[in-house]
Amino acid sequence: MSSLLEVTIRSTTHATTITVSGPFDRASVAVFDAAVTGIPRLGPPLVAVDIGAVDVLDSAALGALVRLRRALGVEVPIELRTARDFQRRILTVVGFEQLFRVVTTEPHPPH
Amino acid sequence: MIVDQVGERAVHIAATASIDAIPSLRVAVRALCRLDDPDDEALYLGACTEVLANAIDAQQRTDPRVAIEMVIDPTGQRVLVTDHGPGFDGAEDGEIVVDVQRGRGLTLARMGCPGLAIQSGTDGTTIELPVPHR
Repeated sequence: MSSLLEVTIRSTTHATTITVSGPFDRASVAVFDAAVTGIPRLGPPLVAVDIGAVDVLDSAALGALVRLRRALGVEVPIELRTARDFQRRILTVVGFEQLFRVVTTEPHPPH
Repeated sequence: MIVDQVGERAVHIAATASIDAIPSLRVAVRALCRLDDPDDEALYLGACTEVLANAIDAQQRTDPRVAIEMVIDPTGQRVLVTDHGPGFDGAEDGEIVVDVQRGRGLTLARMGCPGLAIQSGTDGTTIELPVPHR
Protein backbone atom coordinates (compact mmCIF):
# COMPACT_ATOMS: atom_id res chain seq x y z
CA MET A 1 0.00 0.00 0.00
CA SER A 2 1.51 3.32 -1.13
CA SER A 3 1.68 6.15 1.38
CA LEU A 4 1.46 8.93 -1.21
CA LEU A 5 -1.14 9.86 -3.79
CA GLU A 6 0.17 10.00 -7.35
CA VAL A 7 -1.68 11.78 -10.13
CA THR A 8 -0.59 11.63 -13.77
CA ILE A 9 -2.35 13.30 -16.69
CA ARG A 10 -2.13 12.36 -20.34
CA SER A 11 -3.95 14.32 -23.02
CA THR A 12 -4.71 13.47 -26.64
CA THR A 13 -7.12 15.02 -29.08
CA HIS A 14 -9.67 12.37 -28.07
CA ALA A 15 -9.46 12.40 -24.30
CA THR A 16 -7.67 13.50 -21.20
CA THR A 17 -6.84 10.62 -18.89
CA ILE A 18 -6.17 11.24 -15.21
CA THR A 19 -4.56 8.28 -13.47
CA VAL A 20 -4.72 8.25 -9.68
CA SER A 21 -2.88 5.80 -7.45
CA GLY A 22 -2.37 5.36 -3.72
CA PRO A 23 -4.58 6.71 -0.92
CA PHE A 24 -7.15 9.13 -2.31
CA ASP A 25 -8.51 10.73 0.85
CA ARG A 26 -8.83 13.84 2.96
CA ALA A 27 -5.06 14.02 3.52
CA SER A 28 -4.19 13.80 -0.19
CA VAL A 29 -7.13 15.39 -2.01
CA ALA A 30 -5.32 18.73 -2.39
CA VAL A 31 -2.79 16.96 -4.62
CA PHE A 32 -5.59 15.84 -6.95
CA ASP A 33 -7.28 19.25 -6.93
CA ALA A 34 -4.02 20.97 -7.85
CA ALA A 35 -3.24 18.46 -10.60
CA VAL A 36 -6.59 18.80 -12.40
CA THR A 37 -7.09 22.52 -12.04
CA GLY A 38 -6.01 23.31 -15.62
CA ILE A 39 -7.97 20.58 -17.36
CA PRO A 40 -11.23 22.49 -17.96
CA ARG A 41 -9.29 25.11 -19.91
CA LEU A 42 -8.01 22.41 -22.29
CA GLY A 43 -11.57 21.72 -23.40
CA PRO A 44 -11.23 17.94 -23.68
CA PRO A 45 -14.05 16.03 -25.43
CA LEU A 46 -13.84 13.27 -22.82
CA VAL A 47 -12.17 12.91 -19.44
CA ALA A 48 -11.29 9.55 -17.97
CA VAL A 49 -10.34 9.26 -14.31
CA ASP A 50 -8.64 5.93 -13.65
CA ILE A 51 -8.84 5.09 -9.94
CA GLY A 52 -7.98 1.42 -10.40
CA ALA A 53 -4.80 1.75 -8.36
CA VAL A 54 -6.39 3.71 -5.54
CA ASP A 55 -6.18 1.71 -2.31
CA VAL A 56 -8.16 4.00 0.02
CA LEU A 57 -11.14 6.05 -1.19
CA ASP A 58 -13.09 8.35 1.11
CA SER A 59 -15.77 11.03 0.95
CA ALA A 60 -13.23 13.82 0.48
CA ALA A 61 -12.03 12.10 -2.70
CA LEU A 62 -15.60 11.76 -3.90
CA GLY A 63 -16.03 15.48 -3.27
CA ALA A 64 -13.00 16.17 -5.44
CA LEU A 65 -14.53 14.14 -8.26
CA VAL A 66 -17.76 16.12 -7.93
CA ARG A 67 -15.78 19.37 -8.11
CA LEU A 68 -14.15 18.14 -11.30
CA ARG A 69 -17.59 17.24 -12.67
CA ARG A 70 -18.85 20.77 -11.99
CA ALA A 71 -15.72 22.44 -13.38
CA LEU A 72 -15.96 20.57 -16.68
CA GLY A 73 -19.65 21.21 -17.19
CA VAL A 74 -22.32 18.75 -18.22
CA GLU A 75 -21.21 18.66 -21.85
CA VAL A 76 -17.99 16.79 -21.10
CA PRO A 77 -18.51 13.13 -20.25
CA ILE A 78 -16.38 11.78 -17.42
CA GLU A 79 -15.54 8.13 -17.24
CA LEU A 80 -14.53 6.65 -13.88
CA ARG A 81 -12.39 3.56 -14.40
CA THR A 82 -12.33 1.10 -11.53
CA ALA A 83 -10.42 -2.14 -11.09
CA ARG A 84 -11.46 -3.34 -7.64
CA ASP A 85 -14.72 -4.32 -6.07
CA PHE A 86 -14.49 -1.88 -3.15
CA GLN A 87 -14.16 1.05 -5.56
CA ARG A 88 -17.31 0.04 -7.43
CA ARG A 89 -19.22 -0.52 -4.19
CA ILE A 90 -18.37 2.95 -2.94
CA LEU A 91 -19.34 4.61 -6.21
CA THR A 92 -22.61 2.68 -6.28
CA VAL A 93 -23.65 3.43 -2.71
CA VAL A 94 -23.22 7.18 -3.24
CA GLY A 95 -24.98 7.11 -6.60
CA PHE A 96 -22.10 8.19 -8.78
CA GLU A 97 -23.49 6.37 -11.82
CA GLN A 98 -25.80 9.36 -12.14
CA LEU A 99 -22.88 11.76 -12.55
CA PHE A 100 -20.20 9.62 -14.21
CA ARG A 101 -19.87 6.66 -16.51
CA VAL A 102 -18.40 3.97 -14.27
CA VAL A 103 -16.46 1.27 -16.08
CA THR A 104 -14.48 -1.76 -14.95
CA THR A 105 -10.88 -2.32 -16.05
CA GLU A 106 -8.29 -4.97 -15.34
CA PRO A 107 -6.69 -4.82 -11.86
CA HIS A 108 -3.52 -2.77 -11.71
CA PRO A 109 -0.30 -4.40 -10.54
CA PRO A 110 0.42 -3.60 -6.87
CA HIS A 111 2.84 -0.81 -6.03
CA MET B 1 2.32 11.66 17.81
CA ILE B 2 2.74 9.72 21.05
CA VAL B 3 2.36 5.96 21.09
CA ASP B 4 1.92 3.98 24.29
CA GLN B 5 1.38 0.29 24.78
CA VAL B 6 -1.30 -0.45 27.36
CA GLY B 7 -1.77 -3.99 28.57
CA GLU B 8 -0.55 -6.93 26.55
CA ARG B 9 -0.89 -5.61 23.01
CA ALA B 10 -3.22 -2.60 23.07
CA VAL B 11 -1.87 0.51 21.43
CA HIS B 12 -2.86 4.00 22.52
CA ILE B 13 -1.95 6.80 20.14
CA ALA B 14 -2.35 10.50 20.85
CA ALA B 15 -2.08 12.44 17.61
CA THR B 16 -2.06 16.09 16.72
CA ALA B 17 -5.44 17.23 15.45
CA SER B 18 -4.15 17.61 11.91
CA ILE B 19 -5.16 15.93 8.67
CA ASP B 20 -1.47 15.16 8.14
CA ALA B 21 -1.73 12.61 10.96
CA ILE B 22 -4.18 10.41 9.07
CA PRO B 23 -1.71 8.40 6.94
CA SER B 24 0.40 7.41 9.96
CA LEU B 25 -2.63 6.44 11.99
CA ARG B 26 -3.89 4.33 9.12
CA VAL B 27 -0.53 2.53 8.93
CA ALA B 28 -0.98 1.55 12.58
CA VAL B 29 -4.49 0.23 11.94
CA ARG B 30 -3.36 -1.76 8.92
CA ALA B 31 -0.45 -3.26 10.85
CA LEU B 32 -2.51 -4.35 13.85
CA CYS B 33 -5.96 -5.11 12.47
CA ARG B 34 -5.97 -8.01 10.05
CA LEU B 35 -8.68 -8.51 7.44
CA ASP B 36 -8.40 -11.47 5.10
CA ASP B 37 -10.08 -9.89 2.11
CA PRO B 38 -8.22 -6.95 0.49
CA ASP B 39 -11.44 -5.20 -0.52
CA ASP B 40 -12.83 -5.51 3.02
CA GLU B 41 -9.53 -4.11 4.27
CA ALA B 42 -9.74 -1.16 1.89
CA LEU B 43 -13.30 -0.41 3.02
CA TYR B 44 -12.38 -0.70 6.71
CA LEU B 45 -9.37 1.58 6.27
CA GLY B 46 -11.67 3.99 4.48
CA ALA B 47 -14.04 3.88 7.43
CA CYS B 48 -11.18 4.62 9.82
CA THR B 49 -10.12 7.50 7.58
CA GLU B 50 -13.60 9.02 7.64
CA VAL B 51 -13.81 8.75 11.41
CA LEU B 52 -10.33 10.17 11.96
CA ALA B 53 -11.05 13.12 9.65
CA ASN B 54 -14.28 13.86 11.52
CA ALA B 55 -12.48 13.68 14.87
CA ILE B 56 -9.75 16.02 13.67
CA ASP B 57 -12.29 18.50 12.33
CA ALA B 58 -14.22 18.43 15.61
CA GLN B 59 -11.09 18.86 17.69
CA GLN B 60 -9.89 21.76 15.56
CA ARG B 61 -13.20 23.53 16.11
CA THR B 62 -12.80 23.29 19.88
CA ASP B 63 -9.05 23.41 20.60
CA PRO B 64 -6.53 22.30 17.97
CA ARG B 65 -3.83 22.01 20.64
CA VAL B 66 -5.60 19.02 22.15
CA ALA B 67 -4.73 15.67 20.62
CA ILE B 68 -7.19 13.16 19.27
CA GLU B 69 -6.82 9.61 20.55
CA MET B 70 -6.87 6.30 18.81
CA VAL B 71 -6.83 3.00 20.67
CA ILE B 72 -6.36 -0.38 19.03
CA ASP B 73 -7.41 -3.08 21.48
CA PRO B 74 -5.17 -6.03 22.38
CA THR B 75 -6.88 -8.43 20.00
CA GLY B 76 -6.61 -6.07 17.03
CA GLN B 77 -10.36 -6.47 16.57
CA ARG B 78 -11.47 -2.98 17.52
CA VAL B 79 -10.37 0.60 16.97
CA LEU B 80 -11.63 3.49 19.08
CA VAL B 81 -11.27 7.11 18.01
CA THR B 82 -11.90 9.90 20.50
CA ASP B 83 -12.03 13.65 20.16
CA HIS B 84 -12.89 16.33 22.68
CA GLY B 85 -14.84 18.45 20.25
CA PRO B 86 -18.39 19.76 20.47
CA GLY B 87 -20.12 16.49 19.62
CA PHE B 88 -22.44 15.90 16.69
CA ASP B 89 -24.71 18.89 15.96
CA GLY B 90 -28.18 18.55 17.30
CA ALA B 91 -27.56 15.35 19.16
CA GLU B 92 -30.56 14.76 21.37
CA ASP B 93 -31.54 11.54 23.05
CA GLY B 94 -29.11 9.65 20.83
CA GLU B 95 -30.33 11.17 17.57
CA ILE B 96 -27.52 12.44 15.41
CA VAL B 97 -28.06 15.13 12.80
CA VAL B 98 -25.25 15.60 10.33
CA ASP B 99 -24.71 17.89 7.37
CA VAL B 100 -24.64 16.45 3.86
CA GLN B 101 -20.87 16.13 3.56
CA ARG B 102 -20.47 14.42 6.91
CA GLY B 103 -23.47 12.30 6.07
CA ARG B 104 -21.74 10.91 3.01
CA GLY B 105 -18.67 10.20 5.11
CA LEU B 106 -20.68 8.37 7.75
CA THR B 107 -22.44 6.37 5.05
CA LEU B 108 -19.09 5.17 3.74
CA ALA B 109 -17.82 4.58 7.28
CA ARG B 110 -20.79 2.35 8.05
CA MET B 111 -20.32 0.50 4.79
CA GLY B 112 -16.72 -0.29 5.69
CA CYS B 113 -17.57 -0.98 9.32
CA PRO B 114 -21.18 -2.14 9.73
CA GLY B 115 -20.80 -2.41 13.52
CA LEU B 116 -19.66 1.19 13.91
CA ALA B 117 -20.98 2.74 17.13
CA ILE B 118 -21.02 6.39 18.15
CA GLN B 119 -21.08 7.93 21.60
CA SER B 120 -21.29 11.68 21.42
CA GLY B 121 -21.89 14.52 23.85
CA THR B 122 -20.94 18.11 24.50
CA ASP B 123 -17.55 17.01 25.87
CA GLY B 124 -16.56 14.95 22.86
CA THR B 125 -17.17 11.89 20.72
CA THR B 126 -15.88 8.33 20.77
CA ILE B 127 -16.45 6.12 17.76
CA GLU B 128 -15.90 2.39 17.97
CA LEU B 129 -14.93 0.54 14.80
CA PRO B 130 -15.05 -3.22 15.27
CA VAL B 131 -13.14 -5.06 12.58
CA PRO B 132 -15.74 -6.77 10.37
CA HIS B 133 -15.53 -10.45 9.58
CA ARG B 134 -17.51 -12.39 7.02
